[in-house]
Amino acid sequence: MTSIGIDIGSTYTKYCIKDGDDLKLFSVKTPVRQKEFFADKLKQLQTDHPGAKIVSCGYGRNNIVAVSEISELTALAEGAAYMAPANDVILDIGGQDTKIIVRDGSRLKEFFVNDKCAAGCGMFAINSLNQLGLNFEDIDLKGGEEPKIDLSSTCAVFAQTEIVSLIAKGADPSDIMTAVIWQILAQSKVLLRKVRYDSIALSGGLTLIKDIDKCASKVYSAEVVIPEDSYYLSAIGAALYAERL
Amino acid sequence: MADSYLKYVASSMRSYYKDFSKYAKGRAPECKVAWVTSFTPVEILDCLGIEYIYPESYAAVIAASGKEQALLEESDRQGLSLNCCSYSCCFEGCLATESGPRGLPPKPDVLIATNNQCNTLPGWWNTLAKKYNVPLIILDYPGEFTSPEIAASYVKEQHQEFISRMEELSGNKLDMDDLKAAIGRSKASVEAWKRVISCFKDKDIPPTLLFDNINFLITARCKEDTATIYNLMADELAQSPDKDPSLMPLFWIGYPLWYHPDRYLSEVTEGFAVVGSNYINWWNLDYSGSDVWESLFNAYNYTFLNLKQETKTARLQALIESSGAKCAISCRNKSCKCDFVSAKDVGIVQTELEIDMIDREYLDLDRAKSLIAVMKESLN
Repeated sequence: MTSIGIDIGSTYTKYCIKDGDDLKLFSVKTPVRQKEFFADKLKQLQTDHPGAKIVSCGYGRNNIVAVSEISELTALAEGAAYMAPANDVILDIGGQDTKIIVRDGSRLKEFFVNDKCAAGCGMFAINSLNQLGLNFEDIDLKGGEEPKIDLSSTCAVFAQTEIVSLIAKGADPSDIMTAVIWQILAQSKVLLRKVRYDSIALSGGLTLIKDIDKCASKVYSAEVVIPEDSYYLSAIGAALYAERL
Repeated sequence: MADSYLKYVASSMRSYYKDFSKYAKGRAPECKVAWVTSFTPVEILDCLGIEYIYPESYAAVIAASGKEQALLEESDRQGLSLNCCSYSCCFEGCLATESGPRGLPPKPDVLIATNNQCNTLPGWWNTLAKKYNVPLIILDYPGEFTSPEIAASYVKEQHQEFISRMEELSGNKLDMDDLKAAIGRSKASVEAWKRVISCFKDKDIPPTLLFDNINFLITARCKEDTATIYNLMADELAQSPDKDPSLMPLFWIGYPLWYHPDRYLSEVTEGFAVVGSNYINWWNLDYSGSDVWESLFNAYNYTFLNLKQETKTARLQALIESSGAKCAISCRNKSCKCDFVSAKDVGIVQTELEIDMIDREYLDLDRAKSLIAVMKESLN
């Protein structure tokens, strides 16, 4: 039996097609006109995987009609239990918010969401990359070395003004970008204060950056692990949930 | 037919508001007036015949009457940022426009602030002192941050000096037996209120009733009628039907939403039953002690918000446990950070909502709804 999890995030939509133990994972940019797009996508998925159970999650989950939906936090707990069974605290830095969850088995036990501070979200990284004319793949955290530049602004809007000044002073764009990533990690610390942890599993788009776990470990003063397929944890969780329907 | 508490409520309200402009019709109060913060040792003032008014409480009344937004805007125009405590903004708006649901409170002869609640209050009282050019007295309660012996002696000295100043102001001499009796009445009010709260866990009682009626424990705790009101209320509430067992028991961590007709988010908490709240326990002051000094010290030095984080956490956990709640809504209050940070390690699933107890525009209802839905999902 095939089950499909679709995590519609603010920037990318992640898919998990689960067939037994086999997971097929992929992501595409989340479109602007979601209802029409996902109506077609759903038809395609149902044609390719007849009888598959489908569950959506994520901020755009209501834009896929006629499938079950769960919150991305419930899905994250489920996905993390499957992919990172040794970690019960998961920090997910998404495009438009940051979430911390504590799971008990595959059940969501505690959760806190920060969707007020842009400086703690992936969107800050995306905007900074655009500002610096860099691509995501260009981010080089140099083995988790301390950043050469400290951004003094804790607000994303002011930080971007600061970046303009740094560019004008001839600072290395790669160093500026490293500072941005460290700043995002530092902002998400606010959420971590709410829970008890020794070890943290990271999820979300930023986990695709090499050495981010080393930086995060220094910022949080804790062991930080990046589970396999960390970018897809919620989609995997949604597929697991679908499997039980 | 048994006496209803409502008769005493009406008379207590009449007594509290008698000198507000809507009722006083230009007459000056017959005694000196103090504006106080809500954890002031009012037993002393009561015995000296000084009338005491609670600006914070009046801000809540203004919001409950639905008139707060215009006053908040006026306060902003007057230069008080909307980022300040909304109690202060709302009350300042009332003073600036000279309007409020019960008119203006009588002008103060003295301002009394305590720091056993939050540090915004002494700052706010400072601005009021400048406005009215009257003496400002700040009572400093060290809480648990020094030894109990040192704290007790420090607080006793302050209370003694406070009494001297108030004797001077009122022209009356404090009778220690009167003070003992007033403390006894406060104690009785607290005990009676605890009886009221004890019905909340199992009986089908709207939280609104408790959020609104704690008012007497705040503004009239040492008045004769307060214990009577609560004892009669407890007797009536004990006859209420039981709570629907199919509802999920929920603990409300934080202030009531004064602008909301139900004082909590009833529209997005369908399927839940509020069974407890820390707010309704805040004024359960412990007046134990071998003499009046010790009683006043224990009551006002160890207020909930004046405790160390570990003690607050332990107390909150105990309250939640005794309520039987399985989940909690914790209010991240724009106006009161000290309340919010106390809501840590509560031991049950909680969702955090960004609210303000006065400013209705601060709430994003859709966001609240989706977070509560996540909590519900995690409980299923």
